[in-house]
Amino acid sequence: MPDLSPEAMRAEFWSLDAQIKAIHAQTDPLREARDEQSRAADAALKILNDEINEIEAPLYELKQQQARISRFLEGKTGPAPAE
Amino acid sequence: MVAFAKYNSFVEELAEKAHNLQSDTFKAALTNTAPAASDTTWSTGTYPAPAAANGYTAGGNTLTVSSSGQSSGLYKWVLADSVFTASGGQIGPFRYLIIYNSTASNKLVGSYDRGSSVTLEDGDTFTADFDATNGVLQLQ
Repeated sequence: MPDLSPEAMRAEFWSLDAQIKAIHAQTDPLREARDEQSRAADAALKILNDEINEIEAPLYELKQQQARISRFLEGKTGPAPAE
Repeated sequence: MVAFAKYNSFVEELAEKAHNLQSDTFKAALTNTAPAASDTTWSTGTYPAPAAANGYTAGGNTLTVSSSGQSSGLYKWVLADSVFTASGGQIGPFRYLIIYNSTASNKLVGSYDRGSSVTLEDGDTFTADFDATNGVLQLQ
């Protein structure tokens, strides 16, 4: 029969609290290290993403234009010209 | 363009940061094999593709994200149309177009079914005409 007295319940409450804090004490530094690595990787990726976006800026309109021509020709665009 | 069918795993992977719909490299591959919503990863084993020849590139076409943004809480993922042109021979047969994320280990996003198989003859073009207004997919 569990002890349901207020004193026992308070003791159980604080025992659980200590276990929770002990786990967080172990993982919080790991989380901070993981998040720092993630931020550094994001920063490095952003440099490449910005470069890609700058080069590819005209790509959307080029592809849309090519698709419009393809639809106009009903798919009969012909093969690629010889290089 | 016919209806977009998402893969089941995509929604969870999206929630768990596997996809960056703005900056990852997404590809459109052709296949004659019907997609299963439970599939998770694109490969030519799962989705046999046309030979990488006659204008078809191994892995399919790289897609261009036109916009990835929200307005009043409604997010739209808009892609530029993508053209496949047979040149020097045939491409196909194929019926389905599969969109997957090549940045994220070829995780599957969704597919389209054109309704019947087709083979592109030399000089023919297949255009994936993505919805420029509503996007390929929306989130809210």
